[in-house]
Amino acid sequence: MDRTNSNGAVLSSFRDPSGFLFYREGQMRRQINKVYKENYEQLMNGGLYRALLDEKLLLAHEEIDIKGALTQEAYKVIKPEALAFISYPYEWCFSQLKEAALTTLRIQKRALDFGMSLKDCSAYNIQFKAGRPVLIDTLSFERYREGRPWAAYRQFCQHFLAPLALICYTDIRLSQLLRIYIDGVPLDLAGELLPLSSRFKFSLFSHIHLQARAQKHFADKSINKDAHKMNRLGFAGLVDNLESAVKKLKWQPKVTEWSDYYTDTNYSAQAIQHKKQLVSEFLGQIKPKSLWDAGANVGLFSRIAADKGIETVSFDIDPACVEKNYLDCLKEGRTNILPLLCDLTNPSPAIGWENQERFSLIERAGADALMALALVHHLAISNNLPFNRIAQFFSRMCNWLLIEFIPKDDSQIRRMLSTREDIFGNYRQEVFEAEFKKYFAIQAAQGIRDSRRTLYLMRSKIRK
Amino acid sequence: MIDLKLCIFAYLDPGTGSYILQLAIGILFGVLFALKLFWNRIKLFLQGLFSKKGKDGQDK
Repeated sequence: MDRTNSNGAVLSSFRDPSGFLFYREGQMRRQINKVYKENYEQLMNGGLYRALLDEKLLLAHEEIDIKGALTQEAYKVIKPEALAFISYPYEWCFSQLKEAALTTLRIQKRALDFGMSLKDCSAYNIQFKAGRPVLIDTLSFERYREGRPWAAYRQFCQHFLAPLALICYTDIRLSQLLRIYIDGVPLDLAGELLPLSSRFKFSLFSHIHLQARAQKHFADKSINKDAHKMNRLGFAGLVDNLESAVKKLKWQPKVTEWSDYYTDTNYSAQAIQHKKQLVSEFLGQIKPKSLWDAGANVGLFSRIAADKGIETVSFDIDPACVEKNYLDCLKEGRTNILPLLCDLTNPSPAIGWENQERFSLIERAGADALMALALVHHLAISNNLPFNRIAQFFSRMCNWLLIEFIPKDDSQIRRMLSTREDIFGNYRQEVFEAEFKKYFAIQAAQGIRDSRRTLYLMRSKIRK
Repeated sequence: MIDLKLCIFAYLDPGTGSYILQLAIGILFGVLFALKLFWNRIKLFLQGLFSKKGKDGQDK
């Protein structure tokens, strides 16, 4: 994840003149510039920082020696608390995006109580820490100036309200618009894609449709901002209305192919039980600190890792599975599973200026172990990937690999091949082993009882 | 004279349309918010009144 200048400054951290992120000895630091001094002092000494920390809404930091600063403009250097994994809004399920939106508004309300306001509302400023969303940008606060409207209103609507409304009213897949539009979904586009019924919801009509109209109407006009004021009650009312609007948005996933996978499967109870036991034994042997569960479905096997104290990222292609996994994690009070949306055949790319503002998924890879259970046949047969390419990819992603091989006579593969010609002559266990041995040392291979499947434990020869 | 400190923090363009819209709908949302706060106070007062009565009833 080394996207830095020669002096260590993080390349994505350039928009805000208040400061920037940089790396020192492999750890993240944030330089706060002199120009932000008054706002920083008010955040720290006015009670807001403590209040947000108490409510677990802001990432904590400690001030460190200013000698470590990168430039002359430095006022302070801080060391933010480390995060296990950086995820992006287009990798979140509906409820994660909704929780991130509500967290942002809660912070804005608290900030107002302390005479401050959020000057930006980027969804990228929210990250999941111990299962809950927190604001990571300490420089997002400015003094509230009486009479001024909310500078981050448009950004909040683009980053949060519009994609949430599109998911609820149009299609869950539109969350991926955030991958194209780095500063959130343009409101005129959201207005075009939302159904007529959304115009009859007063909040959505005001914040999306009317705002899109206003943006178009005033696009080439300038105004004297001092002549137009918004009082504090109006400001608080606007934030309160956005909060009500977000809370009302609900998404109920239809039953998808995957979300009822474990109830509609060819597994016997004994096979599932034995597979769980083997996963637990293999994890017990290698004791990884972190694990990526690729194709995790609703996270059944992620929970085995999490119960052993392993930081687990639980990826799946199906938004309904990720949603269920996330909501179940909240119910169960889990703090070390992060469910995320990911199509492994087309993982998140690097986006933004010079393709260096947001990291690709592969650049963020760094887990000790990767688990790929009941996944390889989807990659090899549904996506025509040769074993060699799968093995090569996995070997770059992890030190340890737990992988399941499912033979062709398994009913799931027979179903996959029922509508297409079988061009997969190489889909055989001995070819699988030979190709994976080029990149991995096979440490163990155990047949799963009451099935023809095999679970392997492998060690990457590529990553050290 | 330009206030440099105010300008430098406004690094995010709020957008003229979004700015004007806030001024317009802010008045309405402000009134609605005031009514909501007022209603919440009435509810709290009534809840307090009834729970007090309930407690008095139990005491008897």
